[in-house]
Amino acid sequence: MLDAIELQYPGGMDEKTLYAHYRAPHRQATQHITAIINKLHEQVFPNPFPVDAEALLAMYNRVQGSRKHSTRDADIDSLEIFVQAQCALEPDERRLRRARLSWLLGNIAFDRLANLRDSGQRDLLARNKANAITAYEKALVNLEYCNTHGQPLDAFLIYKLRQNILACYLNAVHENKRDSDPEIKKYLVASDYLAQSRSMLEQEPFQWMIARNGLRFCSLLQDGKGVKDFFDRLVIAYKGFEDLSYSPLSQPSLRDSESFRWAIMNVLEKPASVEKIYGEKHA
Amino acid sequence: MHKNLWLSVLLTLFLSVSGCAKHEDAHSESTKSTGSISTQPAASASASAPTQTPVKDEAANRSDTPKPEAEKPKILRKKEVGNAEDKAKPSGDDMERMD
Repeated sequence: MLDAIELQYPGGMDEKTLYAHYRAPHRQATQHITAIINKLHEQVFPNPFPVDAEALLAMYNRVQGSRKHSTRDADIDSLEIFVQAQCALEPDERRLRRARLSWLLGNIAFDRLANLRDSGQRDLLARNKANAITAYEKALVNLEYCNTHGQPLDAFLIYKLRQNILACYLNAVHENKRDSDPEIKKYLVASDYLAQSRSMLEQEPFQWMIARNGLRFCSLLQDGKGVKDFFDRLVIAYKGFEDLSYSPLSQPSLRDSESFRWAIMNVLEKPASVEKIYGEKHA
Repeated sequence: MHKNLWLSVLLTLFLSVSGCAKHEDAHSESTKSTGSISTQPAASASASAPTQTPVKDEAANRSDTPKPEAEKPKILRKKEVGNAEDKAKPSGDDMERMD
């Protein structure tokens, strides 16, 4: 495969670098390596969505991530209006395009949540949370229709949307109030998120983000057995997670995050209590 | 030989004096064009005083021409302030969305 990379992308990358990026979550790829990995990913997992919708989503991601874009918020507001109009015009024959545009609308509302939460703008926060969930659910309905009507899709696509909906519930609440929020727990149970996460990890055990989120929600539910299970999966994804102070790229370490406090205090740093939980379950 | 030495000393002095004079000219030109508000950032001056055309022109020229090394920190600082106002950093351990 590395020879193929070299043939297609002169000055590609060496095997060691490729495996290091595949394995270690803390490694930040250069633009060159990112381009090669994205190209390879596109070849192995072709994107099912229309190119124009993907381009719009890529453009939004660039604008949203740009710190130098002085009119960013106004431009995103304008884009949102345009995408809403486009979504409404899409006929049933173009459900995939409609789904991706809905996904984009969900992303736009989703990305506002953290700032609105931190600045205490409750009304706007509630409105954007509802908009994001509605948009993601519309995308989900369209994708599930395609999936059952002759356009089979990757299961990971559906999983991503469900995770985004759960993330709307979670991110709308301050970190220190999440364990007592009834809405998060309600959706977590109703969506069967943990079982789906386990199923995804059976297929792709290297997905440390899925394992980390599973651990987060088991900690929130104070489920000791689940904590142990997802922590083991996290370590399978990357051994470095055995150290609770290990910090992957753009994420705090387990020890530095409020979300894992219960798991650390009651399971991960108390092996005896894990034995007790297992003992009780198996008794 | 003595005469040549004096000539070279004179030439050196002339060159250094004319250099100073040119530098002073340039300095006085720049203070003339920016006037009494030369200590303020050019962008804010142009925004708050639209009738002061020389300031505006200079601000416009600055954006087109390469900046001298000494001015770079000022421009960078301005962008940093803009960013801080633009978007507050999200706190806590939030879930990232997936595309």
